[in-house]
Amino acid sequence: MKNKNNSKNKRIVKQQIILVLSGFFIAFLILGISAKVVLKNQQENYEKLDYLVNQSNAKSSQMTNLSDAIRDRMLIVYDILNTTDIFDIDDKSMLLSDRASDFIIAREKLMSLDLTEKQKDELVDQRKILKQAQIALQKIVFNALNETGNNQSDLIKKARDVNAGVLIRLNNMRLVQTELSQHELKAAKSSYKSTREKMVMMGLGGLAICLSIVFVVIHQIRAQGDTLTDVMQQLEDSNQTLENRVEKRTKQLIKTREDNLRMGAELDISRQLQKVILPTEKEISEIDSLDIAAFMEPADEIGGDYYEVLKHAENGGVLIGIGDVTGHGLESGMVMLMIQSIIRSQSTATGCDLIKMLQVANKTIHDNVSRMNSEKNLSLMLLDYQQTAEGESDEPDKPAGIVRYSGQHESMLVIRSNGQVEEFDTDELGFPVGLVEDADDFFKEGHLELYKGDTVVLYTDGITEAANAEHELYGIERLREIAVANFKSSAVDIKDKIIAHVKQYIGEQKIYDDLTLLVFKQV
Amino acid sequence: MKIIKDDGYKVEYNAADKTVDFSGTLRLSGLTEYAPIVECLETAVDDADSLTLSLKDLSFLNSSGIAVLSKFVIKARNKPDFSLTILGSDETPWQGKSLKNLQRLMPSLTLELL
Repeated sequence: MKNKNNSKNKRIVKQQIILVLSGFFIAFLILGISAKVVLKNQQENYEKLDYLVNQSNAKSSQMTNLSDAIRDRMLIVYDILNTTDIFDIDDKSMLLSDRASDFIIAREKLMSLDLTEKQKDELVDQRKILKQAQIALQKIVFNALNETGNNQSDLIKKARDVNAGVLIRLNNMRLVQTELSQHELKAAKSSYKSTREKMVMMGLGGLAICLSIVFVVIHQIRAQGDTLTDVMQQLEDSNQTLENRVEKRTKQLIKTREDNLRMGAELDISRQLQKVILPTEKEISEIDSLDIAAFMEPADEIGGDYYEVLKHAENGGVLIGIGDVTGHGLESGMVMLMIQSIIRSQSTATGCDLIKMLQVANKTIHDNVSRMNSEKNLSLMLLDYQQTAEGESDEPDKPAGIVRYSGQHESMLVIRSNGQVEEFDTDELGFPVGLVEDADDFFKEGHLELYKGDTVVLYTDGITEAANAEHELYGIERLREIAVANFKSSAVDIKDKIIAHVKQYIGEQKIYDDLTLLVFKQV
Repeated sequence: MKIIKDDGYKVEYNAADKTVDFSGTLRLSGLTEYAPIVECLETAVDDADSLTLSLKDLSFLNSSGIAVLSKFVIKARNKPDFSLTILGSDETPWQGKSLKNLQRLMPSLTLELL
């Protein structure tokens, strides 16, 4: 990522350098080209002007020559007229020819110059007219030579008028030429001016480009500087935020870990308690008169299920208990511990007087939890099994055992040896233990005869209230069904089948309450 | 009219009608958290000689709550000639057994399960 940014930056810088250099290059190029163009222009103008001036001068000079030639010829003719000396006239006539040649040469030269069409036409016209003058002059000279013609005045007049006209026209030509020249000069000047202006514009343009490049660069530099400052600030802020977050998170983690440790410790203790005070496999298996199987699986959130199987020495019977403490956690575990010791001690003290035991349990638990400022109470059912004499001697069709039971808990299921199911509701036989201070009158005793092959199923609501994915409860119906389906099996098998059935029903769902199951069968 | 209200529940005491209506779910932990409700119920008992508790809209009550109600019923039982009625719903799972237990605490309690 760093390298990518680096090369990206380098590329941007390169681009900018190239841009700037290109800009300057273009600016200088423009200036260069414009300078060259201007110089060329100037050169052209100069040459043009030079040519014009030369032409003008040449034209003027030739026109002057023409004018002079014409005037001189007139003068010579006057001289000729005023001379009587033949030889003089001859000389002058030669001179006349010479001046005529001069005229012709001058005109030739003039024609070869850069004349407008108009000017050329003018000269051609003049030629025609001058021809007349020429003829007139020739006649005058001839007459003078031959001493004929007294009064040449008409001819003279004609020649003089024509020549004057031509002179005027030549003068006009010269004026026009001058005008033209001035005009050309003006044009040249304005061309020069416009060229100068163009140069200035281009110069300014070039300068503008340079300046704008400079500004852009400065702006870029500033912007990059600002960006840099921003980025550094952001970095600092980010760092600070990060530090804050890390600090906060660390505190959170520490607290969570402490909480977890504590909860873990609580759960461990509760679980230990449960394990420690539950009846062992060995104890259970030592009971001959009943085939007993027990199962307890604590949920992740510890409930406080209780069960007991006590072989009591006094009358050879078996004390069985099952209960469910409200709520969860360490307190529930403690209440279960209390109950276990109360029941055990009271079974001996009362000689298995179930009602008395429950009354004592109620008062003790109530007072203890009040002290703890807790609201814990429990459902509790106690059963006392006694084998009958007939049971001992294995007499058929006679009850093999008697079960007295007391306390309010989940309904007891009895599956008879013929597969019949009986459900015993215990609501009227007790009251939640520890809920109220005085519940003595609520505890009543029930009575059950067990024949060989009969099965009793005791459980907590963790079984009947186990939920599947659709939040439907397992319920007592399913429990009955599965128990009945397996009633002929041993207690262990029945227990296993029931648990498997419940677990299958729950599937992947979380188990929220302890699963407790106690199955005993009259053998 | 006294209303105790919080996240997920409402307890409304109408002194004129002599009713206390519960609605929502109550899962407060321990007597201390239930104290305002306890106080409200005790006031209701003191204020008149009869009271109707409506629980049919209370979809859940935890064990602490049931303990609170039990203690309240005992208090009501101890007041002479106090007439207490509790309205519940057969469809609400926790109510069946617990409300019957309350009635056993106070036999004169009128229990109507709808």
